[in-house]
Amino acid sequence: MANAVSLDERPAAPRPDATEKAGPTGKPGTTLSAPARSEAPAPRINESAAVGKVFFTNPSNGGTYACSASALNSDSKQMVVTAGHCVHGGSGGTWMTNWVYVPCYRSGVRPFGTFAAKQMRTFNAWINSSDLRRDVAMVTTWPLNGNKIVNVAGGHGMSWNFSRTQPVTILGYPGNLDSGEIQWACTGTTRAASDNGIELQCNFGGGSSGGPWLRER
Amino acid sequence: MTAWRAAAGAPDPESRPDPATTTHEPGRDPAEVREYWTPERLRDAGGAPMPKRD
Repeated sequence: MANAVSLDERPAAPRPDATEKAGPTGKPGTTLSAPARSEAPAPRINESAAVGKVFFTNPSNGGTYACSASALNSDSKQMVVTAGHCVHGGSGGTWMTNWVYVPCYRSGVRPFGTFAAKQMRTFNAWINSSDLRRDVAMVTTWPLNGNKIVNVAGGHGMSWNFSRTQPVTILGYPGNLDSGEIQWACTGTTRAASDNGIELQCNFGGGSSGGPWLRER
Repeated sequence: MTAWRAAAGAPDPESRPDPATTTHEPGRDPAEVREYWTPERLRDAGGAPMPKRD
């Protein structure tokens, strides 16, 4: 991903825990990213070591499923961002079980190991109403062999309040491409959607949910 | 197949959904959960269906 910006070249901004101040009419802001360990295998073009595949069981039907996610740089160095429906079934559903995150997964290989969920968090609007505007989740992961995820795989920053027309690269593991065994990238410029979200046309099917949308320079 | 990807965006202030969140702690031994995911189970896990937009 030669031209993608993981937001690390942007100036530091107030932390996003002041969510009320970071409303849609506020100034754009970012948090900083963190690189992977230098001895980690170099990611190929259009791939991020901080992006990985999520695996979980849905207790509602007993099925096992996959999503995408990315490590988020924060003080804890343990956080992962994904879609709300990758941690909870939404209205009428329940919390997913056996939840793990595998950064930089590729065809069964787990170069950084498997990180289990310690705590999952999503919006009540997703849990109670399956509101797609709140289909977002953050997961705190357990350290693996004493190592925290962002300290080994790196972590992206976060942006908010930027224009809905934004050059981005989406990364994820769409099940319709290489059976979801390889990380794929989709690059383009977003546009405003009818529900006030943003959209980008990609050939990404189930399994890509939760992957990061990284702003390009 | 063409999929439209949508990210959570900022709706009009009047229609902004509840910003409250809920947490859940699985409470299981992380080593036990990791061991559950054998290579076969990883391979057999299907892509999670995307919620449909209205």
